[in-house]
Amino acid sequence: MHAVKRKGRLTLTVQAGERRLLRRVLEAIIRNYKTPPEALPSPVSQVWYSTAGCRSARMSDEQTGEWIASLRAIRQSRLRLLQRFARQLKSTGKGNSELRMNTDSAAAFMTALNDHRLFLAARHNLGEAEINWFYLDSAESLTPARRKALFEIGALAFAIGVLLGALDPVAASWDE
Amino acid sequence: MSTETLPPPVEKPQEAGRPAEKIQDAFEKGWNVIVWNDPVNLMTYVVHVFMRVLGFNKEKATRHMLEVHHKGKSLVATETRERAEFYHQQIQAFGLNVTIEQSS
Repeated sequence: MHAVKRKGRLTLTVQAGERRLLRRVLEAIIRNYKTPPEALPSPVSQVWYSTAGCRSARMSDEQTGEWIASLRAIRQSRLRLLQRFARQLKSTGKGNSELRMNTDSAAAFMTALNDHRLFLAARHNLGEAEINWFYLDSAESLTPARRKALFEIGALAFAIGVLLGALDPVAASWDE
Repeated sequence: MSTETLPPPVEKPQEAGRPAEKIQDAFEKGWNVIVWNDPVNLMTYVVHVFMRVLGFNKEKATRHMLEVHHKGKSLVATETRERAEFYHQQIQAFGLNVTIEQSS
């Protein structure tokens, strides 16, 4: 997987295996973006539609409801883009595939991939310890479902790194 | 034709101090925007969000990201309520843990 930005447009090139993974991830994100917050698994809803800030801001129930609706609308505004990318990744060939996008779309795509990382971590109760196991043998002790989620969290971190490197190289190369 | 007259309109008593409080609330930069640590968001992604949403340069964004990472939270802005709510929504839409609260 690699990404190149030229004249305000970004091209993401993915190999066959990466294409299959991305397509599956996109289909899951689309499904979850369409799902009402109250129908999502509770730990996911608490992350995607957290109301901690509403409580600390002393918002009323009505304001909190509007807040959740506005967050859902932001997520749903990415649906058309994600559906287009999912269609483009349906190719079954063995060669590389390309996704072309403007920088705004690239940022939305990256945020959607990040949302899926948050989804998987919440859904499978994966915290800091498990996420740090990604490169360690300790991951072997996890159930297959949690191990698969951990693998996807790691793979999507790589994808986000690739996108961010092209989109915002300054942010992507921070140092202490 | 009825000779009855309507009773004089009853004025709703104003709640003391409310309008003044609302005006002060709207214009005073008394609302803190706090970003909290989480194990999932990448450090580079957090820097990107701070630069994009809050307009921080790389150094400032990195400093706040590291504060979140090492201390568990960082106060990234103190603003009017309206502006703080805007930041709250934007940062949360990027998937970061964020709260706003009135500064003491």
